[in-house]
Amino acid sequence: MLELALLLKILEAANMATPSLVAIIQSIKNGRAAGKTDEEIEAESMAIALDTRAITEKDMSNEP
Amino acid sequence: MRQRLLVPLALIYVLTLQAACGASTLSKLHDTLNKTTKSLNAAAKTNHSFYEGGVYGAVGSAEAIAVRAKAATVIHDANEKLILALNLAQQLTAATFEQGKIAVLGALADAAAGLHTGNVKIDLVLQAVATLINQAVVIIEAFKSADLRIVLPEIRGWRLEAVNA
Repeated sequence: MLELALLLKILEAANMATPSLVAIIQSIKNGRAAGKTDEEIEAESMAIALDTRAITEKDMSNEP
Repeated sequence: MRQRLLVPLALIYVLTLQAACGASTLSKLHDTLNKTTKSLNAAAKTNHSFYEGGVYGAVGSAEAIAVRAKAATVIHDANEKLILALNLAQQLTAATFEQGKIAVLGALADAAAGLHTGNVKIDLVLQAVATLINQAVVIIEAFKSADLRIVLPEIRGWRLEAVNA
């Protein structure tokens, strides 16, 4: 996973490799947890996508 | 005689279906979409961290807010396309996979297409995300690409509201 390593390096270089970001990147690298069903993976993906929607909607505003 | 013919026919049907699209293929698709959602989530959090860390300029300045907002908009748009792909993927079964995967592919290609802002630092992050999305596209595309040119124009015209409803 060269791209993930690159992403991590960029974040580290900018002193932005926060624990939550590193955890996300590690979880992408590790792949599916043992025993997880397709339905559970689907539900997890949708929950993450909705979290991304909430973060970006907040950051799209002109508020500091 | 009919029964003797039906059993092998049923067996051939099941084996063909398994070979064309087994459970592992669908699982691979779900895993790839999961990886992509996590990447976009990481990009959204990185954008916020860049703003708060002063990477875009002084925190609270109009310039920094504008860069943060632009990156957030780009990530938001890609994420909406990804939600569309997830909704489409949720409806897939082994029997409908070949048709449905093309729709997922179109949504993912659209998600990757707009991931740039003009800010070098966040664009590097977005480039990494776009690469991951494109990897997902390549994986799905490899299954079968013959029908793409027929189905993609129609998918591009779909509206998110109609799919989410």
